[in-house]
Amino acid sequence: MVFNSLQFLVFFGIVTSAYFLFAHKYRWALLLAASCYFYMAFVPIYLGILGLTIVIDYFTGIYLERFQGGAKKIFLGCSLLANLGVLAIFKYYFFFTDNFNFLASYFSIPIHFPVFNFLLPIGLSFHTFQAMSYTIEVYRGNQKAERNFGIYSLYVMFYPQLVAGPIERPQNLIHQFYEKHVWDADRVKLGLLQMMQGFFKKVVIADRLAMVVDPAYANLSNQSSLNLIIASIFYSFQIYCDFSGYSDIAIGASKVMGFKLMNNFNAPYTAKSIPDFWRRWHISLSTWFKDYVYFSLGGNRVSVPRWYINIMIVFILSGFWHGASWNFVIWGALHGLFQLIGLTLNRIFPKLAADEQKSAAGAWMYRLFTFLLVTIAWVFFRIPKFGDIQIYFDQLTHGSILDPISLAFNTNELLFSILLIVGLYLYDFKREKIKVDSVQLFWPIISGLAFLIYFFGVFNLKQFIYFQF
Amino acid sequence: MQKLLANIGFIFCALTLYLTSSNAGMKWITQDRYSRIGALGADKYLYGDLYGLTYLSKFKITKDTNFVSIPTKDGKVHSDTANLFILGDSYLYSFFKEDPRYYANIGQVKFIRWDVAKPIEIIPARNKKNILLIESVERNMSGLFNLNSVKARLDRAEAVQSELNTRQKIAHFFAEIDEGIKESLYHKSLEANIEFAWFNFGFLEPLKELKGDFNLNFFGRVDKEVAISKDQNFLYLAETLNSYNPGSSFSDISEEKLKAQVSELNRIQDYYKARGFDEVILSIIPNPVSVLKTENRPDNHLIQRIKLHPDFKGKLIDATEELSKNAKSNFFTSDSHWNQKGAKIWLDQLNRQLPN
Repeated sequence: MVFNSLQFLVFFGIVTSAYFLFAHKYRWALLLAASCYFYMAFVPIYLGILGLTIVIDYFTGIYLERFQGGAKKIFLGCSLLANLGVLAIFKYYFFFTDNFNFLASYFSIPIHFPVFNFLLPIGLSFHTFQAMSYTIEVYRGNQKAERNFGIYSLYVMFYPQLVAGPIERPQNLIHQFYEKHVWDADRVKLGLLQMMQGFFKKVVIADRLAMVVDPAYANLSNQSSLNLIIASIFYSFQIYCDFSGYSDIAIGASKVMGFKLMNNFNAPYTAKSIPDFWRRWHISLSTWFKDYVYFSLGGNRVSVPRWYINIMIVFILSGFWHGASWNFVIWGALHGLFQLIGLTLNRIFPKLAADEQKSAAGAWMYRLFTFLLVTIAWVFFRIPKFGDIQIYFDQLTHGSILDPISLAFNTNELLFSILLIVGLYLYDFKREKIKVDSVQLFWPIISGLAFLIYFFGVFNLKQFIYFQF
Repeated sequence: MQKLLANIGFIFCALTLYLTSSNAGMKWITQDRYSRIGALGADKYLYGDLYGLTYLSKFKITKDTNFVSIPTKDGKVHSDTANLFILGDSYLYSFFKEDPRYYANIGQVKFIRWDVAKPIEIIPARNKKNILLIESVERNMSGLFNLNSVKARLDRAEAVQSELNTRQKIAHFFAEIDEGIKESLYHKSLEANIEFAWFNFGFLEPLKELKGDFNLNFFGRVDKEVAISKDQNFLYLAETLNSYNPGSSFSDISEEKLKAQVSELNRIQDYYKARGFDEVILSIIPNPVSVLKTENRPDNHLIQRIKLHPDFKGKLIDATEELSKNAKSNFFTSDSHWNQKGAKIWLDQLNRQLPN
């Protein structure tokens, strides 16, 4: 069930209203049943896989509290192994066997692993990381093991963030299932507005930009360089609106019921550097890697070469988290490399960046440069095959004539899309300074947004990009 | 206040889900909506299925929905004559349904749709002549007109499954469980049903047309499933114009592909004749664009090439030539189907082929 569907609106209406009609002690059961129903709309039998890891992690949590020392480590290891094992089978098995078989054949080694390409359970990486976060936090003593199996299951399966995050920490979410949320009209209005904002980003901006991006990337060899530049810039905004739109709907839907999920985006394209970008983009994942991988490797409290290696490890893993394909690894490695170059330059010229960013022009230059680097990296994220990446860069050096046919947009729609992008950017840039009492203006804003979504929306039930991860 | 709002929200959404998840519920909504005229009546399909996708005001042409007005062959049903089994699509069932009076010398008609959820096994009667008519529109034929596809609709599921290997059988087993759960929890047309229930009202039509016309005039595009003919007079399904699509009238059909297709058609006929049918008749309905010739580009003449292929044996109903005479009067301008006149031309041709 995708968020941008009428089925979801009906589902949301039923679950939310039933949530407020149910007595507090039954609400978790309602949400759990609703989350199962939501998940089964994709591939029902995969609920069994999710159930298996939930059972393992639930008991691991309890045993982690009972044991100390080596036994505790063994329990944590088993839990991580089970979670990563599911990921390895369903997400990475094909990648590893395919690459191994290729190398074996190249070096004439007579070993051939059978190749299976499983259908990936939707949102597998998200709920697996959320489950791992639970056992790690219990292991570290930051979270008490959850005794109520239903509540623990709900922590992993809470439908708004089940398939594409935000990846929550147990300390933030589990206690909220015990809290009694009362109907607060202002909070409900704010939640609904955030959902509408998410729908707008998805169906008005992201899916419209996809109409240019998808055909351009599907037929790279017929694109002029200007087409590819436009498609690449559009893709940067498409993926932003697609993913942050999803997060807005998830956070808004939770807010209506009284749950507070962590913020996942904070105007990422206004970032003035790559580290700044990562503080604003997919915050729940970047903090996950920071907390559980980067710090575990020693963070920056190690020698400089080791620090650089730590950064590269985290970014390569982050790329690999997105998908079992080399292009994601390259995308992650590029971001790591950008960071290392930035750090090195900062070490050589410690005052340069700080001074230049003080002036408005300097700050804009840094923003533009950061956006450029991020957009270049997205090219590798978007194109899975090396051959196509080569075609992309070959075509980029050819001519510069805009070919309206292969761009699939007329001038009006192109200008309209640019207008949307500029509007979104300005909104992001000035968001904190905009003082509008959205609760007071709820009805004009929501009906205006509803009209704009209907009138300018592209309704093709296009899945969210991050569902595939 | 909280309780009141929650109750209203719950009842409204739960009722929507209940009605749109059941065929009976949708039948009730559809009948109720179409029985009304005006603001509270339904507009989808009233002016053509392609108008319903685009809402272009220019193509809002009232369609004669009195499909059964096509004159029947004769008023009587001769119960002692042949049985006709039809595997077909909306080109036939929207117009003729299962009424034997349309067909010459037919006592009973059994109609099976291509989109049938589970196979319906057809068993030829022993004491009567049995005729099997397999019909598809040109745009769908490459995917449908093969023996496996036909068997998947007309033979018992086990018969089809027996051809799978062990790995495929396991996959099939899990897929069936999955499908079973999905079917019981989510109606396969739920999204379309909710859209119909919530938004298919006459009073919303001006807004829909405003959007449709704006998209065409300002952005230069229509719904991605639809294309406007070069002469601006007809709406077509876009797939029938896109030469990369195998069902397009303009796709490249090599001799090799043609031979393979002909061989499949022969296999279908041989198989069902061996199953006890006295006659197996095939029919390919041309895409409207193949007949209307509005695009000024050469089409692939698929049906004609099949009919004239030296390897092809058996009967093929091809109404292209007859439909091409005064072609514009045989098709709706905003619908993917022919009109009653077009349907009647095909029916006459079929009746000439049916045995005396």
